[in-house]
Amino acid sequence: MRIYLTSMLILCCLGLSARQSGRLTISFHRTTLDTAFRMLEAKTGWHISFEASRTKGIMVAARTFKDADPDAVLSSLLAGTPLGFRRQGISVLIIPRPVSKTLSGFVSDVVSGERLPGVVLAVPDFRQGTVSNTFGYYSLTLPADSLRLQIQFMGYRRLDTVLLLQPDTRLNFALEPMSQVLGEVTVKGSKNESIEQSSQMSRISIPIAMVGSTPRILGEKDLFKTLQMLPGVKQGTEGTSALLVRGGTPDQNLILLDGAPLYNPMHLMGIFSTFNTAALKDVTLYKGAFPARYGGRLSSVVDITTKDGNLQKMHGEASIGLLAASLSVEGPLKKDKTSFIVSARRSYPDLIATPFVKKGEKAPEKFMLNFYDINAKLHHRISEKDQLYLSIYSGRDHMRFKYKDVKDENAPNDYSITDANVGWGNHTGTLRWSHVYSPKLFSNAMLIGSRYRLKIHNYTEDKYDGEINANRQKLHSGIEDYGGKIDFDYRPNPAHTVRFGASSMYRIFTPGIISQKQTDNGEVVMDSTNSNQRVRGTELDVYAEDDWEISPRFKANLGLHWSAFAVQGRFYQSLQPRTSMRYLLSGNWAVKASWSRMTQYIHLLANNTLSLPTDLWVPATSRIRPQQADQFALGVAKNLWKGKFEFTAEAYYKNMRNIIEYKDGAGYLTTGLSDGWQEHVAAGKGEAYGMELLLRKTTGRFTGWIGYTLSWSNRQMDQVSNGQTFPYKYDRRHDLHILLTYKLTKGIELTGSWMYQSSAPFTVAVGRFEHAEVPGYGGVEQFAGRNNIRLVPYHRLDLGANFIKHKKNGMTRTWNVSVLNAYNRFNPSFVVQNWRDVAPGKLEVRSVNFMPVMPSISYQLKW
Amino acid sequence: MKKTYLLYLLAAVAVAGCYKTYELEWPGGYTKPVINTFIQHDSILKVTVSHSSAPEEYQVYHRKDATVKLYADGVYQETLQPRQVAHAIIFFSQLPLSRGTRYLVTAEIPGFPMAEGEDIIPSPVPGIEASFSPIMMGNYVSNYRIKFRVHDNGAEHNYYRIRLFFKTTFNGHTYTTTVPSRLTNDGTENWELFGDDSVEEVLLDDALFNGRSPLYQFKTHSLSYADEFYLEVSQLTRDAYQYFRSAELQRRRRGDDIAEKVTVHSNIRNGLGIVGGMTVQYFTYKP
Repeated sequence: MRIYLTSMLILCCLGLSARQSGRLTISFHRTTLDTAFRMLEAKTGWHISFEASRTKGIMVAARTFKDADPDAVLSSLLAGTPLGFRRQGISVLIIPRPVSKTLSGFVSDVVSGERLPGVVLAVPDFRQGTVSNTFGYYSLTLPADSLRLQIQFMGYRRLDTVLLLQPDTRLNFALEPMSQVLGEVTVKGSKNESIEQSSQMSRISIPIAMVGSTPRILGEKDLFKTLQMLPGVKQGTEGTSALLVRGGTPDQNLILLDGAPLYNPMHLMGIFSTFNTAALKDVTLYKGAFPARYGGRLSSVVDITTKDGNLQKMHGEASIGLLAASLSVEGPLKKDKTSFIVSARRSYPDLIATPFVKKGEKAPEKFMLNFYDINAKLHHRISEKDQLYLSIYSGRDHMRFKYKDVKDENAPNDYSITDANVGWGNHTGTLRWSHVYSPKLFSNAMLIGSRYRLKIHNYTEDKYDGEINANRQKLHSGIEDYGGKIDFDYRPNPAHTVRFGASSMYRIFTPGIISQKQTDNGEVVMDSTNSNQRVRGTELDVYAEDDWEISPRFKANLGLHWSAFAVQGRFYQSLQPRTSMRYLLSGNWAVKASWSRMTQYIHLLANNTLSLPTDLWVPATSRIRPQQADQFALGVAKNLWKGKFEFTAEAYYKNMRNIIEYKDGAGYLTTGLSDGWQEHVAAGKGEAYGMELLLRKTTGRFTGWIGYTLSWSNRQMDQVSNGQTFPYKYDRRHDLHILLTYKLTKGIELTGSWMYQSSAPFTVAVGRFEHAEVPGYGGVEQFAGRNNIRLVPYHRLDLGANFIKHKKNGMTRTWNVSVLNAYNRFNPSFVVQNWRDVAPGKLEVRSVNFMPVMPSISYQLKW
Repeated sequence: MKKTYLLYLLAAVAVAGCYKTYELEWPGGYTKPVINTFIQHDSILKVTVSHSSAPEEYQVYHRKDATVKLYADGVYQETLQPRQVAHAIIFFSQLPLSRGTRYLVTAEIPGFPMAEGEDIIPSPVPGIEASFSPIMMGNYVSNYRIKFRVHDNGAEHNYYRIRLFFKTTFNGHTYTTTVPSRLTNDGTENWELFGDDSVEEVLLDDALFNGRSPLYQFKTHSLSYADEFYLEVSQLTRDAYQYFRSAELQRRRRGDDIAEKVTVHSNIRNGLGIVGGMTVQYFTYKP
């Protein structure tokens, strides 16, 4: 904290020193302004020109300046008068003081009416500008009566206009998409704010169109698999959609869907992420330098905004792949006033498989294996100043196998039933109200509800000789969030963008509650629950940040985030400094640095090398402390080759404290109906550091990026791996990703991606010893530590092609053909140790590959 | 027909491409002393002392040169003497052990620091019931149903292990099995999503039924040739329970590609193995 305050002080000093020049000492008695001008002329050698009618009758109070900046002296003399000045060398012109006027409004898409976030509004004559916020709102305050405004957003036609400003001018702009203007030109990209101009680092926005272009697994577009291609982000186990950012764990990602947190947003045991890209508008990933407005997770923020729905006319999109089919419809309920979007997706292999499965010899009575997700949003413009949004998301996976077995033909009434039922999913809802208080002040208030739930139900029933015994077990786990949030966006002048706000979330954790009920001929013989009880806690967050352009070369985002968590009689609190800054070197090279402290009040307990929905979400409690991390980053950024390429290089160091894992051999699945989870976890620390390079092209027919990461990630816990430091399970030293998309013709788009990763660590036994009950038999494996061997590097080439046809009836159809792992590289996903026929002094492991060459095809129709 | 061949070919390529074997150098240097013993009321103490070996070796190196001592409530009792029993060297005590005492076993093996472990003998739960009944398939017995009910003591945290053995006659000779028979679980402890549904031992922690009387049911595999059954019900200390639980879990996860590897629980300082307390009861059934 002391370092933070010192840095703030230095920044302020730098801001002041940037304006200092020659010095003078002068004293004024009470006199007229004209006389004061003459005295100043005599001291400085300036020529001060003014209209006498404007200075007539203005008196100057007695004052003395010592070693003062002459500009400051003149400003002081004019303070409180309606006059200002302009100086060029020794010529000074006294002019009427220009009155600051504010221009504000929204920027939207002219076709759909969709609000556009991240649009750059530049005023070249003043060398000032601003960027629209998440809701497309902008505000510019300038001392001018008129101005020339340039509005730019990637994929849209640039708008140049001259405006006459009134004291509070309110103007909404509608940008025309490039595709409407130029037909076949492909322009993809993200926010147009130059990476050199922004003080933000470690942030990447991914165009949704890019997600659609990348090669697909089983024909499904997957947002997280595209994010995994970025430097600093690792995929975890092959084929899964887990995000591991800068050495962090999957639970350390704050995944916000329209502001509501999602937990374990995975389908099919983690193979796909739960986002239906048809409903998405904007995705931004923060790997570090977290702005103060975000909090609650250590390693990343994935801020996802869904579309508002077309305000002008109905549109739709349908697609079908090898795994799932989806349908999305959007349009106006009342033109220019109210819009909606509904998007739904369901996997269907079980629909096809069920008739075949049921024909089998041991056919299940019930069989289900599917997932679905639904996104819906309602957007209503109450007035020019008020907007209302209602967003709902529901996604769920379901597996069920029910068997009924009649073993004895002579006793057909005797049977046994086994019914295994597993389901997990997220349900979220947000109600948002955005309001413009004044041209400089904007707010967004939200009511948020989010629920993640895992349930495993096992039921067995046995009827024999007239007796019926039944045993029902249920495991419930999950997390519920209910709360509110308010954010303010205040833009007093172009040099400052101030954000502040607060939130309160009431969280209910269900950390693996197991209940069991036994009946014997209908009589309940046992009905009980384990000792894991629901834990309730309240999290409070307050923040403020200022994106401050201290000088044209120096910009800083200074913020503070305070959070607190009240749980089980404990009150944890944390003050988290957030700083990022940019200094422009010659040649427009931006040097950036950041420091952010993050505190996380939830933990994820996993006892597999793979992230599964059965992992438990548990809170910080009176015994288990919250996780905390400090991350430092330093980097450079520059637009190269006339702005066609973006280049960033960043080095980072992150240390994590109070991270928890199951003790060796523990787990709620393994300790059975045991006591509380808190007895089975160990707390420790983690450390991650490395360097990332990214060269990215966002415009033209050829787009994509090359990303490289050099990284280390380690853990140390006293009760895991004998207390030794061990590499995190996804620690890989080198990581190279190349993702390229080329628009060959109007109707053909080609994509290829290649990734290379150093070998991942695995755990193997280093010895063997006697089993206590079988003397003479060395049946027990001895482990020296976790993740003690590495095998071979990982690399994979994925190819894809989109064949697009714009039909005369206005529809657009797209065939996507993808081939994953095109050269069928064997990449070890897991290893199993071999014991037989192993040469002395050797270890032998058999590895398993999840993803051999895998072709797929999908079809999409838009109207 | 051609399509069928193509499908077979694709399936074969996928399966063939799924596994690969790698050979690595064994780093070595992990050898540790191992003490194993279970302490029971009114029984003499039998201890095996060995050291761990390379992972590909199943052979156990018993250390006859070890010095094994027994302490009761911190007081030295005796030095145990080694004897060859079948292929093993076992250290025996002279005196029987008794409930209510904390026993410490130490072992000094040349070249290693002294290893030691301690535990107590749990008190028996008075109310345990077990019954057997044959499951008929026509006129034949296909297998057996076992009902087990424990009246748990609510004042203590109890751990149980249940195993089944049987006696059979073959060619005029009578044998009693030493390897437990598999029991088909009724789902009581089966929380693994893709876990086994039959086990050699049932391990229970009374957290869910503390102070109550739950009923458990198991089915045997086809054991129509058994002359007599022995249902072994052991009460365990927490260390013994954790040892059995983690050993069973390690065995079960041996072929599990995605599971985190399991270190078998040990309460031996400077070594591996277990000094575990247990109280055993048997229930017999003659078909």
